[in-house]
Amino acid sequence: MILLLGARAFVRLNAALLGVGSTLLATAAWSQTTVDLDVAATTVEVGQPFAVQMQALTSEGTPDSPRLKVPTDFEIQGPNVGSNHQVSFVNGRLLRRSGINATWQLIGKRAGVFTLGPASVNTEQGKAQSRSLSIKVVAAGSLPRPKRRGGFPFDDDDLFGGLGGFGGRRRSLLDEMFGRGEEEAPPAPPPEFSLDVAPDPRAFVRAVVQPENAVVGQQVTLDIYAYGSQGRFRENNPHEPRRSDFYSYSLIENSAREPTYVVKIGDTDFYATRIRRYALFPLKAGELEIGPMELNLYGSGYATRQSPDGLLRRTKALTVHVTEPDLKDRPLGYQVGDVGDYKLEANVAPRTLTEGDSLSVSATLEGLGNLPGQLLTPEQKGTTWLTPTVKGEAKQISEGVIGGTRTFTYVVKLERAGEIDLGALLLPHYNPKTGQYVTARAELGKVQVSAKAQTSQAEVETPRPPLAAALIPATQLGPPVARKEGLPSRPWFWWLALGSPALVVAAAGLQHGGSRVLSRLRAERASLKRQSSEALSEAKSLHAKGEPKSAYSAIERALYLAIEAHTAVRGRGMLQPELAAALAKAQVDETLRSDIVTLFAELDQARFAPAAGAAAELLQRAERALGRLNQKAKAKA
Amino acid sequence: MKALAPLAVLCGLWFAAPCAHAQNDEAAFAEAASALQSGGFSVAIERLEQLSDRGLVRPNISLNRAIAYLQRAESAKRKPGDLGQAVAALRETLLLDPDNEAAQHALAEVTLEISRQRARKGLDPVVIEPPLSYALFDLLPVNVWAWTTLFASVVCSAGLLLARSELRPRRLAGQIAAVSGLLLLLVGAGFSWAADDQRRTQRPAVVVVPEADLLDASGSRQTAKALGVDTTSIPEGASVVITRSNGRLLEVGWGSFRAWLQSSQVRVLASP
Repeated sequence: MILLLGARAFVRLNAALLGVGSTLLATAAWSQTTVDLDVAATTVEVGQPFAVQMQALTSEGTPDSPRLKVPTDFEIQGPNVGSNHQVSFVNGRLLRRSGINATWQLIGKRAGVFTLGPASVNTEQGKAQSRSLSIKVVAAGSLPRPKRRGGFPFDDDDLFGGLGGFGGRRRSLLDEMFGRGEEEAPPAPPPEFSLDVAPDPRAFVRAVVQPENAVVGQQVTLDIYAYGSQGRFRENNPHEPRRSDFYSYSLIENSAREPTYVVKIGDTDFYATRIRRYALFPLKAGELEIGPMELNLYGSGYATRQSPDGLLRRTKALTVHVTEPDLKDRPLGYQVGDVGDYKLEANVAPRTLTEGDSLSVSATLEGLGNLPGQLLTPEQKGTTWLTPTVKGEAKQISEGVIGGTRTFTYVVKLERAGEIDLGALLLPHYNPKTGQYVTARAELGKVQVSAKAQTSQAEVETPRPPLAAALIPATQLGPPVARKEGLPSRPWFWWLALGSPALVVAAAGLQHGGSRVLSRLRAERASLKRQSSEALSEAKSLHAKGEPKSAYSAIERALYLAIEAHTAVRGRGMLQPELAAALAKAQVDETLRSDIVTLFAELDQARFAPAAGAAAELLQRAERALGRLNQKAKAKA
Repeated sequence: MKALAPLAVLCGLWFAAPCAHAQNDEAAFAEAASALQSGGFSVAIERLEQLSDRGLVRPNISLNRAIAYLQRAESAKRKPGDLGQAVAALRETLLLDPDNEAAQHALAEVTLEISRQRARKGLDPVVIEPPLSYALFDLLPVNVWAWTTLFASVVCSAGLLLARSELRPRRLAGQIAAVSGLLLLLVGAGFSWAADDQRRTQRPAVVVVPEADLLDASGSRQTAKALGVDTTSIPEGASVVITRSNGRLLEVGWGSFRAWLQSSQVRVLASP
């Protein structure tokens, strides 16, 4: 009985103990740290990134230092850690727990079945760890593509992308109570995201610059958009576009906080986000190039074994046609690049001072554009404007518009007494909206400068006189200065300079040559006379010797030589009529001519039929003829 | 008559255009002169440079431009090269009006000031003058060389004529005159031709930047060793002679050597 009672009691006791124990256990469980490990898919492809999430909760303190044990066959990134809170009713008691969610990105490098984990955290109670998981890695491309669903606003921590099945961020009880973490529909895309045709069905990036025609210094806005049809993505390995011909302000530096839209292009839904925005100010005129931007679109739908960093995409290079503002109506002092819409105000203090003192001019420039760095200060004798202190930078003052406020503080030294009108500060600039030049102006008004008290001689420092002191500005334009051509530029100069001596030399040469020719002629003539005389002497000698025929030849020879010497007629070989004509031409008188011709005829006759005593007569007649020829020649000379 | 009206209008415009242009020039000059009087050198520089850009060459424009640049050089708005621009303007004034003593004096003062400023920076204060040949041929006006040549020609011709005389003293005198005249003729003709050629083909200029780097024909900087000199740049205010141009580069003669400079670093002196 006792045994039976004991047994029943034992059982009841045990049941009670069990009940208490289980309550205690349940409570204890809630009091302990729990570490859960989960994976989006149990089968993945080689090279396909997948997420592994750990949730660690504890009732005392907060867990930290999450770790995941992973084989070497995986590449691992992370963890991305977020906080977590849970409130539960356990056995009538409200229990609060806090913890962390840690997410790792893994990529399997080879096929096989692997064990992931356990994951562990450190708590106040010590180290706590999760269970392990088994995952199968298959060859790339062997799994069917899961359907992508739209979903949450882009979140850097959301590495699950569009992977189906995981269900997104784990919702806590409070999330369920307050409706947090539910999927929100993406906002409607602005019109600038719209496109008729997608250049690439998977992913592409697009750069747009506006306006495409600008003037130097005018703001042009560069927007770069990314589109992906394989689910959500984030940018990876960005290379900014080259824009060295521009002064640039970065309005969107990265896309982390930019909204993502769903844009329908054709039949395909693309996730789209503006990843960059720059305000660019051209530095010079010409066809200025904006280089391409290059980046990887990274996400579970974009990374592959071949491109684990995601899909590489590049924008096209863009060209902006930049000119200088029109020269027409350009105001004096306009600096190329001063473009915008500005207002200028100035304050002067003090307005009463002594000669040699300085005053301060504070100017405030406000408006839209890349604020200019200098103003035009008035120029007048006796006032010296020192280099100003400039404060204030241009910045984005509204959506995509650069502008702001800049202050210029001048010190102006006044070196003459009296009432001085300081003039005005000016900023000539070009307004691209109106296409006209405008001069922002701030009148400075007048100041009273009292004369400086006379100082002792020792205190006076005589400055060096200005360099232009000796020069008096001309007040009239004056007449043009005639171009003076040098004498060597005139063609007659060289003819005269070099021609004169040459002419003298040439004349002298001609004269010398002529004299020589004449001399030679004279000499030749003298020689003929001598020969003629000798021939006559020979004829006499032959006659004396009784050789009449030879004498006739000698006489004939003497006559021919004399004729040639005195008249230059070479009669040998001429017929008598020809000889007569030649002598007539040589102005030999008729009588002499007739005698000479008759003599030749008789000499011919006598040679063949010599008459007695003819030789002597012929000799005499020849001598007389020769004498008359000689006389004639002398008379002529 | 109606048909002639457009023609008359065209003729009127044709003749009126230069008159209007001249009035604009006068007005621009007057504005610059007035600005100079009150110390408004920026306005003066802008207007006078506009007149120079239009090709207007007057000694008064150059003189006023020199004054404007000097005023700016001595103000807080000074820019590098202002003194060089002033030297260029003064040299231009003297080219057009050689008897302007005030410009001569100012030129000496400005050149000295450039040297002084360079010395303060530890740079060589010496400003080298134009090439020797240029200085030689420019020693006298070209017409002096020309008249010398003509005189020598006459002497030579007379000497040649006299050398044919039968009288020995005259013949001797003629020979001496002929030889002397010929020598003088050769020298004079050579200088006349060179001076005239220099005037026509070579243009004087002035460096208008603090330091004009010496380059080679391709635009690369030259070393002092390659140049065989102690410097690799020409200082502000130095007078050079432009011998050739090649795009944006100019070949200049400076001192005893030649090198290339960026055309933006020199100012060519205007001539009528």
